[in-house]
Amino acid sequence: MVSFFFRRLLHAIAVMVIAVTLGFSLVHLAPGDAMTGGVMQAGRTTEARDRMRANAGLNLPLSTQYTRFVRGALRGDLGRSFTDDQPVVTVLWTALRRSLVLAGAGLIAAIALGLLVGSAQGWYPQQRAFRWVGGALTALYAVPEFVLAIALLGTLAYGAGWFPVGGMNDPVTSLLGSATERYADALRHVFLPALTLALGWSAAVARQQRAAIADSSSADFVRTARAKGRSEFAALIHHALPTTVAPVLAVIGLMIPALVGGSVIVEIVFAWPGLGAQVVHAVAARDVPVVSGAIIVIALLVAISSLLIDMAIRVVDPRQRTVRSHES
Amino acid sequence: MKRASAVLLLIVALALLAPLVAPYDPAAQLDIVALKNSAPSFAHWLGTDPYSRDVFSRAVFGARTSLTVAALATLLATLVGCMWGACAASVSDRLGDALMSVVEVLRSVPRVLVFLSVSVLLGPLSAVTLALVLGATAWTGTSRLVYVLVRDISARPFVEAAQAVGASRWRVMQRHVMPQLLNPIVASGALLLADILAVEAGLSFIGLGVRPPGASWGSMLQDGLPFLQSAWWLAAVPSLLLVATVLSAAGIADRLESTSAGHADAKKRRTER
Repeated sequence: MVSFFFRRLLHAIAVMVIAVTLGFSLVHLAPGDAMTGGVMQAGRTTEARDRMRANAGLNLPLSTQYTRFVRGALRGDLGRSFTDDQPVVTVLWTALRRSLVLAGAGLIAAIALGLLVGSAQGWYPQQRAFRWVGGALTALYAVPEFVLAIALLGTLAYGAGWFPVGGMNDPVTSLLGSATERYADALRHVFLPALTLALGWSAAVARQQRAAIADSSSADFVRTARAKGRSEFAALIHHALPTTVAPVLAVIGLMIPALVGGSVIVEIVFAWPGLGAQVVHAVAARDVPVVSGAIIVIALLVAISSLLIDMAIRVVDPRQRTVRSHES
Repeated sequence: MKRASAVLLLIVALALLAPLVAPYDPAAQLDIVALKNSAPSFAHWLGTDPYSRDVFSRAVFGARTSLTVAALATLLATLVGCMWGACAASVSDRLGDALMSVVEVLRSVPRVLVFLSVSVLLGPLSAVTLALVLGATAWTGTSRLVYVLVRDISARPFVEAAQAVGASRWRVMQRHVMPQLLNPIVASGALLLADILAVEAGLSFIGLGVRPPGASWGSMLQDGLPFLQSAWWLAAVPSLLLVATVLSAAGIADRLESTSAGHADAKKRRTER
């Protein structure tokens, strides 16, 4: 367990080194530097810029600058945004919180939906209705997230008018509404984007869950549970379900890097002011520090959550503890 | 399988014959006043877009861009993946382990990050660069598949038999291992194609991919998004084409995978993962 933990930690550190290097090389390979780009630098003379370059350490050898960058990143200092001169960390943290709300809601809904459909399908393989729902989820899995997002937006928001067409809250309600009204408003806004993410992601969970439940429904320990008189429901909940936790966790762990990409695009379709929208705007404005900071933050998030999930798998499933990571 | 192949063939044929099929120049702004967002009609089968361009012509030429980029990227990713996986499986255990650890690390770097960096560094990407970047970030899955398969097959009795009668390493690889790889690799390639098509459309959709006035399904969706209510066909046409292509490619992959005989254990391993 401990050696596995260190192996995984090494892996996470390798990912972070790649991300930090990517971030650093962005800042330094992109045309121009912090003293030529940006609104704050307009109207300065060349001499003044040279002086500022020296002050900011931009004349130092690249290796020194790299160690400085890494040290800054470790302290949580990722530089300042070119567009509004805010510290990058502040900009990203505001956006990240909003993204986490959306991604969290989507992930929870995806897991719930996936477990429900997968279990039903695996436990009652003959039921046509469950097979249909499962098949529909699989088809949705193949549909790109943003196409699904546009379809939901076009039908349920623009067409039927049941949901707002984008954003995080209604400006009037957020200013004047009571706490309950604001809460309901936020729920209405998060519903469609979260549903989009959930529909796409739940198929992977459902497929894994169906296979796992189908396996264990014919296993000896479930037959024994039935034979000693436990109800069908109890046999499912207490005997079949616990064995499926580890494989489902593994699926979620493998999905994490893809989740980031999916939520970036869903955020843009639904005008959700999160990290994805922030980064795409930063790319359009060539705000290099924000982009490089976002790369580091996203990589850190992915590395930490994959690490946690891998550890969780080892905790819930002792059999996994001896298996080597990439041959399992 | 038949239906999926027919759909895919139809779309590929449309893309290949784009100049013959398309009634208008895809980038021509026909009449910015009279033909802005006009609904589907006999003159314009699928309507026109906000710049008065013919949507059908754009969709057909867009198919060209989207499919070419995706096919190039898939080819590149499959080649790199096969070589990496086969190398890792045929060198010493220790080196192979190291090579596959590199793959593990690369797999957990979200692809979005690479796309973002490249577009900040290079600005707007050409179709070829786009295909290169997409291919360079997509090969890890294939390399894992090939690694597992080659190791699996190399442990089988017939390989041992071939080695026992003195076949060279290369001959074993060529005559005994490679033929068994063909089917799973084609299947994973079809799945990769579906995946890359979707990713390319997503990139063009958020403005990091194909640049205007060039048409790809993703950039057509981007143009259509603000007019979802007033001109639904702008978003519907590329969405439907994209979904049809992706679903049929994925369907073909599924079918190939389940018919490729003799790889039951490799497949089982994949579902267990």
